[in-house]
Amino acid sequence: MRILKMKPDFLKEFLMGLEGFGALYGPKRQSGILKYAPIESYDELVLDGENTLLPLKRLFHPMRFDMFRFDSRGFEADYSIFEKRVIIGVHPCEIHGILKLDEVFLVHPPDPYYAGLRKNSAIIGFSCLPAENALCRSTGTDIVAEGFDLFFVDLTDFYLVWVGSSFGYDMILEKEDFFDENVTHEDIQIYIEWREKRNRMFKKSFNFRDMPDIIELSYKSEIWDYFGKKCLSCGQCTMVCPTCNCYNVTDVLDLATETSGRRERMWDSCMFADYSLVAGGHNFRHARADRLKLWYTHKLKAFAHKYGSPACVGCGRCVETCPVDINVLTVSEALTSCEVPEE
Amino acid sequence: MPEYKPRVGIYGFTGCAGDQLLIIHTEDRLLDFFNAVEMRSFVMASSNPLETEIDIAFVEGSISTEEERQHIKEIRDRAGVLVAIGNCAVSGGPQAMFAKDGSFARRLKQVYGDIKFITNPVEGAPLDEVVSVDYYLPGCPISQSQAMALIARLIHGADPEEFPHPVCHECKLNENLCLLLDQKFCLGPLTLGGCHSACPNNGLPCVGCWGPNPDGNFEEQLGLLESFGIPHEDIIRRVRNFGGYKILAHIEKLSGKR
Amino acid sequence: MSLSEQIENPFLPEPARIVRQYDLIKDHRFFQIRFIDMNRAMSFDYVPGQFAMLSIPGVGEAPFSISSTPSRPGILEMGIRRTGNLTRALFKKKDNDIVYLRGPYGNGFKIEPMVERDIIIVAGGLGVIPLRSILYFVLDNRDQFDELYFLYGARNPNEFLFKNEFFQIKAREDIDCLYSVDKDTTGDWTENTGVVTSLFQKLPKIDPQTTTAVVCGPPIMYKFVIKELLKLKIPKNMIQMTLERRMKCGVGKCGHCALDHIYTCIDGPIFTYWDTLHFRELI
Repeated sequence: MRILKMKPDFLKEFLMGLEGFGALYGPKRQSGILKYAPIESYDELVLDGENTLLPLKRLFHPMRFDMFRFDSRGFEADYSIFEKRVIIGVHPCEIHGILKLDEVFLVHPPDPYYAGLRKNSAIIGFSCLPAENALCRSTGTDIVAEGFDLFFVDLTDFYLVWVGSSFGYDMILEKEDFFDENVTHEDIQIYIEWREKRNRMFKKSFNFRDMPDIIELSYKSEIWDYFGKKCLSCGQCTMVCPTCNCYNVTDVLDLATETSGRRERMWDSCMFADYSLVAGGHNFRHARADRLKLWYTHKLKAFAHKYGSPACVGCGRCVETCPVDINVLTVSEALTSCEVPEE
Repeated sequence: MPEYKPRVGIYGFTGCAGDQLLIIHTEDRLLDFFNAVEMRSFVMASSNPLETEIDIAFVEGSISTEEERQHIKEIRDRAGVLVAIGNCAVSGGPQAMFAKDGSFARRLKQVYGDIKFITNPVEGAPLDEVVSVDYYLPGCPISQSQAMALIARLIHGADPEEFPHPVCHECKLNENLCLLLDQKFCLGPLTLGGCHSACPNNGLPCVGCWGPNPDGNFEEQLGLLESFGIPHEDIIRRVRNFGGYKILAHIEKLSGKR
Repeated sequence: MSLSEQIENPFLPEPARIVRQYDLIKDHRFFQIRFIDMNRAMSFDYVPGQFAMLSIPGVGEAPFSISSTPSRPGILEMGIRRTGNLTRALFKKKDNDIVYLRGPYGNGFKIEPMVERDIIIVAGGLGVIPLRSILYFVLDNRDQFDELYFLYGARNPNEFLFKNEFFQIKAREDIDCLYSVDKDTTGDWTENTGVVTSLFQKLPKIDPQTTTAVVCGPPIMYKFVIKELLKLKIPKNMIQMTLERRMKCGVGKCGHCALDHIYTCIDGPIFTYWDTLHFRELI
């Protein structure tokens, strides 16, 4: 892979100059909340290690949008969500999250909405230092080797810029003189030191490698009942998880005519009571414990079984979000130690 | 053949009339609504109502007098489908916050003394305490989009879709920080969504105006709120504020001291 | 729009005409549906056991198993119970009305383990709807298969689906049909009385090494039927069954039918008995 150097002084001009490649998006604070949103000025961009409240998936798997318009002539796909975009400030765990969603949405037959948003978006990754609840080193998602067009590693005195795609290289060519091809031994040393320093900064860790077996063995464990009793079924964990992809589809009729309307798609959650409810009233997962078990089985066992690595990217959002402390860490620890957390 | 238009009546009982007002305030969609139906009775929008047989009745407000009891029965008799709109019609509203606790006679006397009533007051109750209700549009006030989606389905002969999810669903989609994480009072997980998380969007706690979420984990949430230092009685009072008759089925889970 | 040219959209429902419909029993109706596009009508190829997503614009979309056989192309048949918003709207449709379809989805029955072997089809109640597809497929390709046993149990004679068809088939010599009702409520039932498992006693000697079983019925029935099939020593992976789950997409995207690392909509709805032991949440 091509790796270039860039002085921090050029960052603002380079990033804002990417407008020609698409509308700029990035982490931006709105009413105190960090969100992926359109960027109008460089000062709005938040490029430190903080997580956005909702993960990058919200830009590729929109929370609520119209799939189709329909009228008496039938259904017509609505692709108005498509837009050329350049998404700046994406952390490695977020990129891993999208690569995992690719496994679901891009396999045959690809989801045209996700695929269209993906195809029209460039990803400019940025390195970060571990946040309080980061688990990405434990999940092997702290470093990223693919899934970006450019990736900036902030080494204070300079950036190392990984060029991940031909499109990314086109961006470099726009401002060729900002970049230096000459990566010296000294630079490599600085990079290694940065990696080591970063590795030492993680405050939390867990061995997720054994979780598939432990989950299989714990199928009947009363640990699930403990968490089931506690769970508020608010669904926040699934909304903030970078790899949760479930959605529901609802038709909304127009008032004016009998035959026209839209078919809407909206994020759903396996924590909600009606998730596995079929017409006629049978519910395959009525108990909260069964809903939680599905989620953790899917994240830590099933996904790993199918794609080689767990669906958890270690972003720590579930740790930060659950009001009653049910998260990938507390559940994994309880199942592994066979002990429920202390109140 | 001229297109058949469903005959509609919109009625208000005891309440603030805010839900009827919200229907009027839909502006451009109001015209679509009025064009798609034959509006027989909607006193707030036009006088000269025609009180005949109707296909759909939308009814706001709680039943608070003997006269209202008779009137809602009369509407039910001539309506094909009856929809309760707004918290008062669905749950009884704030006037039902002491529902069935046996204090009605005492409270009535305390407020009104020994006056003679034109019509006998009864304890404020939701419509389904008196007549059968086909569909519910909860909220204080109702949500415009939820109302229009339900109305569109009903007038075009399709059954409305339920939204059996907590407020937290839409709250997270609106990218709000969970108030419970700041150890603040919020009834989001115990309350049915559909409001687009109107209160949390403005940093205010959910007060439960959509009525209880049957899937809510009442015991656990009570313990959580108590652990924030909010007194038990306070929580019960606030849950009952909009919970009316509909919270009664869950109140036992809430009243047991932990 | 340039960003969206020529996109294959697997969620796009195609218009189809209800060419004929009639009540099977109370709240259960039979629909014959044909794609408006004549090429599509003839090219819509499927395997018995697969399902299609049926839409009514403004009401919604849901999966329904296909009850016809691909050996008789052109018209899709579905037996549908009125039970939710969508089916209530569907039952209001008349002949020549338009609905929307996409599919076929799911894995379908594995035909290969049935070829040149004996087949036992066991249906309980509504379960006969998807099994009607494999039943007719086998009959339409009769020389490919050996002995054919068809066991069907309903609650009572009034809930016995496809009565005329199935009694007509019973007269054939190349199929052994065993029918029963739990209780004869009419007094004129000529077949067996008792639960569907009681029919197993009437089967001739079965060679488990050359037999494949196909089962569909209410969840409670599986337990008892499987017990009978295991008594006959039919291998666990030679018992195929079709299962139900909530689905919103049919193509492994919406997540609702997920279970362990499989999606019922693409890895199912047909599973072997061994699969159900392996994936503990299946039944």
